Amino acid sequence: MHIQNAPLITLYILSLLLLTGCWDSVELEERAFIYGVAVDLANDSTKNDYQLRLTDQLVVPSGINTTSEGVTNQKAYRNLSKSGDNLFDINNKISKQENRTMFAEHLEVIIFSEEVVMQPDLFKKSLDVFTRTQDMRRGIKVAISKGKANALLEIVPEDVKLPSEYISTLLENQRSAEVSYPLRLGDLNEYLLMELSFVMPYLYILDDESIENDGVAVFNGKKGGIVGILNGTLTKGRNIITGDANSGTISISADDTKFTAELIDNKSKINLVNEKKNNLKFQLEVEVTGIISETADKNNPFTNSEAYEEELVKKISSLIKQTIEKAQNELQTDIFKINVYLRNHHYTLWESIKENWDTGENYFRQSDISVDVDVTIEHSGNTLYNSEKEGG
Amino acid sequence: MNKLELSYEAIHDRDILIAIPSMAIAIGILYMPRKLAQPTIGLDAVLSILLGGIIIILFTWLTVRLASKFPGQSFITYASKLASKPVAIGITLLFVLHGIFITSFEIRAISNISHLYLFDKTPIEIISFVFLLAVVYAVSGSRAAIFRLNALFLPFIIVAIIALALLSFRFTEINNALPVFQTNLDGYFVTTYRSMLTISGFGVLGYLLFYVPLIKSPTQTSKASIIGVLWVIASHLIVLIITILVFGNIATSNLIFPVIELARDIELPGEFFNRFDSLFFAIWIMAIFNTSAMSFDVAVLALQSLFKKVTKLKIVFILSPIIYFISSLPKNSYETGLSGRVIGYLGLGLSIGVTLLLFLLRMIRGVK
Repeated sequence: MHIQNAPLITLYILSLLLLTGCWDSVELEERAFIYGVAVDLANDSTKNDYQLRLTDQLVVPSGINTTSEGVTNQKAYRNLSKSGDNLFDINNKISKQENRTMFAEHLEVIIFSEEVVMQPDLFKKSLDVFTRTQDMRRGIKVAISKGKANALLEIVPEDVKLPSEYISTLLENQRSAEVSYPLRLGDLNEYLLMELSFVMPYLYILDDESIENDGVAVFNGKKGGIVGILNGTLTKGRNIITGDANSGTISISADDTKFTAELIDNKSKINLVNEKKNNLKFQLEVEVTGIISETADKNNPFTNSEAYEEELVKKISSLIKQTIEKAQNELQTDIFKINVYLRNHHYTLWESIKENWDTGENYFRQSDISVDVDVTIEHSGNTLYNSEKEGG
Repeated sequence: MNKLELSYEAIHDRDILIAIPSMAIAIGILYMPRKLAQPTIGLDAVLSILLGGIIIILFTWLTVRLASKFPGQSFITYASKLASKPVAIGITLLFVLHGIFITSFEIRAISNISHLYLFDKTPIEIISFVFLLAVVYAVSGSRAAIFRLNALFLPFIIVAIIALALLSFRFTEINNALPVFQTNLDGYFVTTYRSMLTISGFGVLGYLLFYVPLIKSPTQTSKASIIGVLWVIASHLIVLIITILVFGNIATSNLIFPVIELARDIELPGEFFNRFDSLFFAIWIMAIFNTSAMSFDVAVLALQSLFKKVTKLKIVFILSPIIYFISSLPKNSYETGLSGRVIGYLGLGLSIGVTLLLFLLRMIRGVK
């Protein structure tokens, strides 16, 4: 080494020391990941001044990793909650109880209790923090709970260690037609910005170890709050109308026949046939494809599928009628995405009625929706007859 | 300069083709969908991009056609012939300013964004300082090397845009494309103007007036430059369409950086690449680097033609602190955006104005 290079080498070594520093480095072990969040009304909130209660579910890594010895009894989560006016502020208060740095980047699910979403505009305001802060992703799932939302974060089934992970995968499971699609935060944000009405997944506690996802909560965009709950059966009707029922079952149980059809495909098409504001007429065409998966009927579904189809058309039509009636008369809220259809295909008309679509004048309520149902049975399973053979 | 160095500094038609998207694709495209979605409905802004794009193609063609008539001459030489020496000096100084401002803006904007999404504790001053050092390093070397860096980085940028579109495809909803053609004329007018601004990369396409004469044998330059602008238009179209299809028009107009949000929405299988946004950021920093290096270089090139006796390194070291100072002037990200808008409109006006002026003068005077 030449001695005249010494200053240069010192500079290099110094810059090595200086440049490798990182302001933002936080070790993985020092991070506490928030996996689920529940938002409730605090006990001391009054009619005019709502106080929110936020519960964060933090992952406890040592509880997740099972040791070779077998089952550990340690909990895999830690729920912390505080009350206050603004969620971000409450979250900050919660951080005073936690020894690790809290990170929301892996947040999976946000649960709002019914009572929060029923208050006009409170929901909208409290959602802001989730779309505004940079560590939130727009793919976070949002759901509504019956009763207290934080109670859901305590439900641990046998096979999943984290309640919020359980809820998140539960929302994604779409085997039934009686539930809503998972509602992504980004989509929710879009609906709220456009003031459209929509439906949200509705969860309630079944017992200590299970939560059930059943029915939907109906959100009225203009009123800015939930106006009611649609039960599982009517949700199925709603999903068939919007063409979302691509799984699930329809079961017929009459005196002379008993069978279950499994839905495998569902399409729907809507058309505006009368454009007069006070007498809007919509023609709905609903196509349902199913397979017969269980029958107690004497007819064999393989050769007599028409009979089965007829029964299904009758059943679906009445279900749809019930659903439309409930939406128009009781909820008075457009849950069938007709608002989206009008905006996209009849923009000028939509602009003139959107302020009074499902509030005020309520053109939705006054409109006439007629439905055409078409059912196709694709196949009837592996067997021909039920044990009881015709005439046998 | 000896002969060897001269050939080393020479650039070719293909370099111009690559330089155009490298310069024009930068910060602007990250928030372009918001700017275009606000005054329009549905996907109507596509028309504005096409229209604005055609206008920019036209001006780029004029610029290149003019500049390629004077191979081997510096801008100040041929501009003096066309419009008298004082005017040429004035225009050159304006381009120096534009280069300085654009470099400062890009540096500040990328620092703001990195601060916002990547390092929230690292001070903005440090991020922009480190970034500036990298740019200075590129600019103080050979000019041809910057063009080669452009060629090196551009494929990454194109791949990033295509990956962004493909990976977010499953979030698209066809309903978001509707309704069609409901925007009023005013909306189209405003967005065409904004498209011109972002496609011209805040007027950086005017730098071609300086770079095109460096080409030794400009035979296919016009064609190359038009293809270059077409690439820019295509990237804008892809980004706009995918953003609006995913977020819908209204949510897009409510997002400050819709394209970053889009990248953040994508979750890839696998541990390391799970977060697409970090990859996207890394690549986008290359895009910003290209733009900053080119605009810094044009300021240096213009000053070199004014002060022939001063060495390049000296110019670079005088400009760097000025650029750093200007980049630290905006108080917050709103002011940064505002300054970008002002610089952009002035730059676009400068580029188009100068091109038109010189082109007309050349027609009238018939200078060879």
